[in-house]
Amino acid sequence: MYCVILFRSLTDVQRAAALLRRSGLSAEPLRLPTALARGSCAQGIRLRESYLAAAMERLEKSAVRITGVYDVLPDGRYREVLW
Amino acid sequence: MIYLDSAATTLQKPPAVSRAAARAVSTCANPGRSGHRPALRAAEIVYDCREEAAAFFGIERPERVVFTQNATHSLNLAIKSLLHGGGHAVISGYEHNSVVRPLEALAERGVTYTTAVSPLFDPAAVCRAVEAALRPDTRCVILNHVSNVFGFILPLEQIDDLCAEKGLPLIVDASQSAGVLPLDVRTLRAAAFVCMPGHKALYGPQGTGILLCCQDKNLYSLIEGGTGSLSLETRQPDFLPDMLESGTLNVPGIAGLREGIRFVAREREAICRREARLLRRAAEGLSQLPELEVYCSDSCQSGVLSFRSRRIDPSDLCQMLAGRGVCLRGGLHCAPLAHRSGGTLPEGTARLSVSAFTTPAEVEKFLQILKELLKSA
Repeated sequence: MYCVILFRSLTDVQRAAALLRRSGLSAEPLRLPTALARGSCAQGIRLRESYLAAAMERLEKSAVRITGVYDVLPDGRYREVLW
Repeated sequence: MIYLDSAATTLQKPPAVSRAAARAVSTCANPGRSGHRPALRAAEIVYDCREEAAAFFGIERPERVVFTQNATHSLNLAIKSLLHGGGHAVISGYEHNSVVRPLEALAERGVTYTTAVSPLFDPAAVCRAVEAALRPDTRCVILNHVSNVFGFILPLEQIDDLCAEKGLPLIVDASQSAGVLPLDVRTLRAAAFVCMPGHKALYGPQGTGILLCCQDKNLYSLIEGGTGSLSLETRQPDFLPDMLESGTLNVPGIAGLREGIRFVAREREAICRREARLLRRAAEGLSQLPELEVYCSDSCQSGVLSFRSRRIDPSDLCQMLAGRGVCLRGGLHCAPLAHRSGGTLPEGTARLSVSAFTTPAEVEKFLQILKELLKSA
């Protein structure tokens, strides 16, 4: 199972991905599907659901602003996760 | 050719700089606009450069590294961020027109400024003059770290301390120091912005500059437009770096700049020592020519050396040298304030400036050519 973390800018996505990689948490930048992008060109990162708690803790410490967290459901739809 | 005009732009760069820029021209698309491979490659290069610049200058958050066109662009962003609402600024007597002209342009918004005039190569006098120029309505202090005319190293740490005590933000023009002198913003308490070109001692291509934002409030965008973020919003994003980076970035320039920063991050201390040796030798050689007035200091000079002939106008002298394959700059160097402080108006000076790629043999050859030229002129 995977989840997606959304950010407000590409630079934030890249910073988050770099921070998580350095913490041993593999995270892949991806361009957001229309359902999540809300008309923006912005991207998010995709990571294993099992990494989510550690990833959120790391990102909150570094003050990268997160704009949303979503589970990727088996049928490909997204479900917002309250964090 | 002997190139001694690195204060204007470094001509010789590490080979990786042009290779990276050329590769980016043919392999990079628009970062942040699309999810295809060429766009992602561009985004990676831009972010890597942002992160490496942040590490080199001690900025904790890479998003606070803003890419600009040049130091003038960075200074305009910094000055207009702090003063667009009006107020008074104190500037040193060694500022470039890239500081003075934006301040003059802001006069219609009620901005005034005081020039803290002080004698050449006297750091303590700079501190006294800046302190004396402060007023109750002063909103910021602007300091040239190294004069582009005389290479005078202004007392950045002391002015930073003064600003911190007074609760005033400091704008640092690091055009001649970034990449040569130690510059870590974590050691500065009052610095709000540090402005620099990418194409001088950071060895990037022309058309690159950096604005280090030590704060993310009171920012002022000179242009607005597409950023690849919050695209449904018609208002400009209010966060860094997007707020100050509208439109397509200079990705080939940034790719080259990344290699330049990698070079100086490895070699800065050696570059600094080498440039000091070259400058000392140039000053020594020039001082032996009786008709020259040489502006040098043992304790507070970096990278740049001005001199004047008592007979020949500095611009004419530099043109004569150009005819013999020696590249210097003559005249006012876009910094009339510095010449007023140094007593070199109205003709200005002949200026030589070195880089990591200047050799001792080139300095010797220059001295020989100049000696012959003065004899025959």
